[in-house]
Amino acid sequence: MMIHIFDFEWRHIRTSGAFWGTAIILPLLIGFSLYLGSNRTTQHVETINELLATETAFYDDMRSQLEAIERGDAEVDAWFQNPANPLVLGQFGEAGRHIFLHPKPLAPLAAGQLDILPYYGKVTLTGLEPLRDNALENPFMQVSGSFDFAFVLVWLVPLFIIVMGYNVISSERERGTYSLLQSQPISIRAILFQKMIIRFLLVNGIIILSLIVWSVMFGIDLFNIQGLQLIVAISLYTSFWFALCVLFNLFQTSSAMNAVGLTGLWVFFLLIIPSVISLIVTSLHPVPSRALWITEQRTIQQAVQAEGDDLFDSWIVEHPEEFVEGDTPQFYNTWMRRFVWAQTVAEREHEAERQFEEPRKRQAQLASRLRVLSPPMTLQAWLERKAGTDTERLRSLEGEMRAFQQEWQEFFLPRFRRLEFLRSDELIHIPVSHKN
Amino acid sequence: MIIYSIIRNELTQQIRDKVIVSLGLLILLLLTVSVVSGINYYSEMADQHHQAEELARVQWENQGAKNPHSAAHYGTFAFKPVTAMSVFDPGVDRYTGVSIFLEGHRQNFAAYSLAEDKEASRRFAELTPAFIFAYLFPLFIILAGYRSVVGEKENGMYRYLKSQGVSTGQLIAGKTMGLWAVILLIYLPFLLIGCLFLLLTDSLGSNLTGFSLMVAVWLVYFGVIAHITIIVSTLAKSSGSSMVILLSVWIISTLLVPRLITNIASGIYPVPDTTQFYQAVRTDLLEGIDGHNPYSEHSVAFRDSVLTAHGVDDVADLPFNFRGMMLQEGEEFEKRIYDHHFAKIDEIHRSQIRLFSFSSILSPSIAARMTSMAAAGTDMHSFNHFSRKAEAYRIELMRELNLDLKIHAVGERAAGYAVGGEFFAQNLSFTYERPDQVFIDSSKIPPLIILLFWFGASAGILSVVARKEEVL
Repeated sequence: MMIHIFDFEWRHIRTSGAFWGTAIILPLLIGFSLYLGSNRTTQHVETINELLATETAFYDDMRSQLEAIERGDAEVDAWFQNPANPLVLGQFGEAGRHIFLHPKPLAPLAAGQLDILPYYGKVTLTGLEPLRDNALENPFMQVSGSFDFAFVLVWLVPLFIIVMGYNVISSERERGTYSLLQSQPISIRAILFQKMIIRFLLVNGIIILSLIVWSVMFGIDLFNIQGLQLIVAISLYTSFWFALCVLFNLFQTSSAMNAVGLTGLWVFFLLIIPSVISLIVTSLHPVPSRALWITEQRTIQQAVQAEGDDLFDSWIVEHPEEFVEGDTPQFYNTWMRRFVWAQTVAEREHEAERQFEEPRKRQAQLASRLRVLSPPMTLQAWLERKAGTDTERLRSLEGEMRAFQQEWQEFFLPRFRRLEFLRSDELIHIPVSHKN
Repeated sequence: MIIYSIIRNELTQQIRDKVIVSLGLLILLLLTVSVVSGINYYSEMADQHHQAEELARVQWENQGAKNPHSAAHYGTFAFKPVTAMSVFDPGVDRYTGVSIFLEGHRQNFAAYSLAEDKEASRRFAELTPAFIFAYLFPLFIILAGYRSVVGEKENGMYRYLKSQGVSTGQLIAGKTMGLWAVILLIYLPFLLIGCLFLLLTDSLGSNLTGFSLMVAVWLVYFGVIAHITIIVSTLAKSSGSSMVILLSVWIISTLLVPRLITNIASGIYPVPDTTQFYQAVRTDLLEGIDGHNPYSEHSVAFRDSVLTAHGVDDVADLPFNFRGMMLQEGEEFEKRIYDHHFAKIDEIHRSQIRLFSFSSILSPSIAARMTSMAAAGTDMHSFNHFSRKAEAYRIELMRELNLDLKIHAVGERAAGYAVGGEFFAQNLSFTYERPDQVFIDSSKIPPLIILLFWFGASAGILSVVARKEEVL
């Protein structure tokens, strides 16, 4: 019987415009979104490789210059050009390391917050600069958001499902074939479920098949556990929307009312709940404007500047063994002071940053709890996490940069404080970010 | 008279429909909540920006005694104004930086957008009147009108009305006006809420034109949706298919086309990344005077020309401080280079927006959103206006600083020359005043015309459909 219904339903669906619309448009939309996603990821990989190559070239050049000086083939013109000077190797110009959040295998699937938050930054002895290579992008473009696979799946797929399933039983009633169905040796519910199962299989088949085909074409690796998880997530999400279709078809309502009700739920889950959540989290935990932060940063800098010598003197009292007294070069005294000041500024700024960090964390916690009310929001958040483009991961960049800066400072600062210059054979020990 | 009866009947039907009433009330509630929460947000932001502005000035005046050019490097900030109209339509406001750092030698772009600190769920939807008008209100109109004609056909009322001497034209006109009346029932309370908000924030006078234009734009947009709804309802075979067709139109217009076009526009007109941008600026800067490098080829040539013009052999013999003059010369050269490169970026942005605005031929929602942003003063044009004013202030401030150095750091005073708080207190201060007139430049005309075209075309098609149905 089941095979009979499947066969009959397939013949029926084959003649439906909704099916062919889905079968043609959905793969095209998925293809275009993956094309844009794979371009975006390729660009990121290229940027990362270019920056890594520049870093390597800089330190190779420094080593060969230093070797030439050690052999006596070259001379040092000025202290700020001496490749043995820890400042030249750890602070000035091209010196320093870039810290990257490398694209995850599923990165092409969701652009997430990449258009707003940076995925790499540069660390020097005093600098901690998250870099945005898209800072010149048109803000107008960010308003509409990215056309990525996550958008197609989370926003558009439910609409295709609604079109495919809103009138499965109600249309039988409207065409007058309902009583014919009732006379069959199988319950209406069983027929409805089987009709829905074939639609579910078709829609899922279209999504998964196009996802696989386009991914292979664009070099996105889906043949792993994450690919499997993605397929499970897609199936769960489509099941949710098909279940809603089943529910509506069980009521004795007209096709039009089903379409209205299902679209209403779509609006509720995708527009109303998110906008209310956004309103609740921002009202309960407002983040102050960055305009205040900018002036506060300056207040801190001015205060440190005013305390300048006192700060340095007390640092020397606390760290007498880390300061070389006597006839030392001018740059040594200048930079010893700068390092103490920079460290004080960084500590105070980090403290002041909490007024933004705390409400932001509370916003994120509350939003992640409320998100369960909307399956589309839950799926979007899951996809962004899998793609590594979610706010939490992108925000982790600063922490990683801070951790690496400590490593960087631990390598260079003790040498600088003892006024020890580096030998060419020591350059291979210059810290490298493990993530790179 | 017949039309009036149809309108009255349509309105009564809609008011008795619990779904329509509930949805209408929901929209009104959401609109009220969005404006009320907007008041808090607006007043907090305005207050914080005001504080920051005052503090930045205090910091500038109390930066301590230093050489004027050191003060140029110390720099100051220009803060983007918070406008009351952004409560109705935040436009690009959340995505543009809140302040620009103004310093010597370089133009910076605005930093710290509000979007960076906001929770990601806002990217799904943010409760603002513009969001409700662009996304939810059309759905409400569709819901209120998808059955209006086809429903009468389905329940046999159409033939009955015809037999009573009601023409199809009268029926369609009555149904259309009935739908308009329903729209106005929800929209008019919003107008009151909006005016009340502007009165409370003491900004009705300065925003009256903008608010009126915005209100008119959305009303025209609703008219387009209402006309399309009645057209589809007249031509559809069943109310089910009417609903599905109208929903498809809504999806294509509000969801699909805007996202597709923005991504296509970014692909066709790519913006260079920041590294490329600064590399190009640096390359060009090498071709002119570097105020900090008196030995560069261009600086030497400039110095020689000044010495010749004054008939002296040494800069120390000049009646003014040559460094001050050279710094200003360098500043102006650097400004030209930055202006040139920023103009290129601006042109790319304009091309992207132009493509986007022409795509409103496919989507009336784009046309309405773009014009509404312009009316609210929260579009790119308004932001660029602020950036240009901030840049004009920067160059004037730098001129003031360099001029002081040029005039006063002469002779014995040259070495270790410094100015103090009194001088900094007299420096120009930046207060950005948004022009009262609505920002309508040539780039805003296409979406506005296209929106009016949509309105005219939809009304025209509606009358053609009415005439055709009459014949059938």
